[in-house]
Amino acid sequence: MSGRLAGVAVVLAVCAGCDRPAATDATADTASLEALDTQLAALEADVEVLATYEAIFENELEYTRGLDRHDETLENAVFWREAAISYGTLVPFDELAAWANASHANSAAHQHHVTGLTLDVDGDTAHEEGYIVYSSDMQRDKSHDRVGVPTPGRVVPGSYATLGTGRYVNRYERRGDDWRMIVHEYVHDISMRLEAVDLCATGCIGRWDRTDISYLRPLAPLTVEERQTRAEQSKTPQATPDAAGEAR
Amino acid sequence: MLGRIGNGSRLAAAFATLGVAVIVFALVRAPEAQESVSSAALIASLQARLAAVDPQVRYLKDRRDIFDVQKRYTRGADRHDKDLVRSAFWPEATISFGTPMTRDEYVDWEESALAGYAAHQHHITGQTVEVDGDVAHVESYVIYFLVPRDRSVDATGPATLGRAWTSEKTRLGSGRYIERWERRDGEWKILVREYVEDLALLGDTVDLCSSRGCLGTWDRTDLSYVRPLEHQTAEQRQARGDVNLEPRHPQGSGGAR
Repeated sequence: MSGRLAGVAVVLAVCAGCDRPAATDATADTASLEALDTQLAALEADVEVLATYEAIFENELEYTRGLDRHDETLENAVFWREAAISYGTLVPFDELAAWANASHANSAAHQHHVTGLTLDVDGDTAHEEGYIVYSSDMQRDKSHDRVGVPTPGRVVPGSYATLGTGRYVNRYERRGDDWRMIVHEYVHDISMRLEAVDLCATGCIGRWDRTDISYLRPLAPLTVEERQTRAEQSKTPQATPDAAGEAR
Repeated sequence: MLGRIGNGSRLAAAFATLGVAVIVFALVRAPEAQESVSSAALIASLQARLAAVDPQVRYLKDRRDIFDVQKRYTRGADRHDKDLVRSAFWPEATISFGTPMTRDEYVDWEESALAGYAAHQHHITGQTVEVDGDVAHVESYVIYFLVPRDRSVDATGPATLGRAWTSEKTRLGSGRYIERWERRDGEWKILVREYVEDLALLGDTVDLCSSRGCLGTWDRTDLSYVRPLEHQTAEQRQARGDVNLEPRHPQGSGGAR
């Protein structure tokens, strides 16, 4: 890209240095401008490649952020309405967020990382494969759940978690300036079992809604007390075992 | 390329046809006047296109710069390179892993905390960014590994990778750096960091230094600082791998490779 920018600069310099007889002036200017136009078109094409990659990578990241925060708006915004979404069987667009959030809420904690992607763009269609590392499935001690507030919670002592890797195999479609998934097939490649640490035993401040601190604007440093209050909320048992069933 | 016609609507096509007709007419009537008119039009269109590309490139550059600085931070932490870590934060930054710290407090605290492990690595996997002028809100996902240290075999001298304590578990953690960044004189750095740990897992520990040898170091002698990088012979690799094992474990070190 820098080479092309340099080319544009050279053409501009040539143009600025024009002091030929008036008769050839216009012809020289036009030639320079047409060269400039060609350089700019090449630059635009390069920028579009980078911008498309960025847009699709960001879409993947918004999806995993949506899953991890149980944020329905984010989860829905990454798909076109008629998208075919499959984790083994088709999940209708309208049901995806509720299904994903309910299944993740069985786990005491979870996080999905997009580590890299490969992309194959053809006009308004793109095929993309996103590599995923995730952890989930640590058994949740629901006796500690707070009624009505789904939040990362206590791990059943001695329970295991899945550390998994897989791939989002996707077809993307561009409509207007917006790239979203139209086909999403999840391919699970590896699962391993590891012991889960009960982070919330000492206090965990992540949330499964927009009270999570990642939504604060502008972010200001939290005081020790603020952190402690957030941590206490997840640590303190506030529901009876009977009521815990309603927490989800 | 010159006259990109939008999405081929009939109206656009009609205007294009009209435009061509006008140009042909103008060429016949007054060649010189036409030349300057079309040059002016072309310059205007070039200017408009440059103006459209410019913010796109700036956005990509901001994203890239922020990601690079974040990576510089984790590389600095993993190499115990305090200057590198410090360079990712503005002097008055507030950093919290539970208790707010100043930049200098944080740099020292983190280095000494990490020195308590036999080995560690931090991976930034992805980053969501909202840029608003010279301020950015950034959330970076991180996976880290912490290997427990067998201090009984520590060599004296500067802290460096050490022998793993295989009766303790290795920790795989997963969390988020939630941050406010600021751009000053074209440079993006962190002003507020709140770390949120989301989950942690435990697995069996492998002592790389005694099985495969461990090449990494916690200073600028690490291979990643070598310029220009040259191929390392088996002996050179072995010499680097041995560094961490001296002086108390002559057995099972050199021959381990």
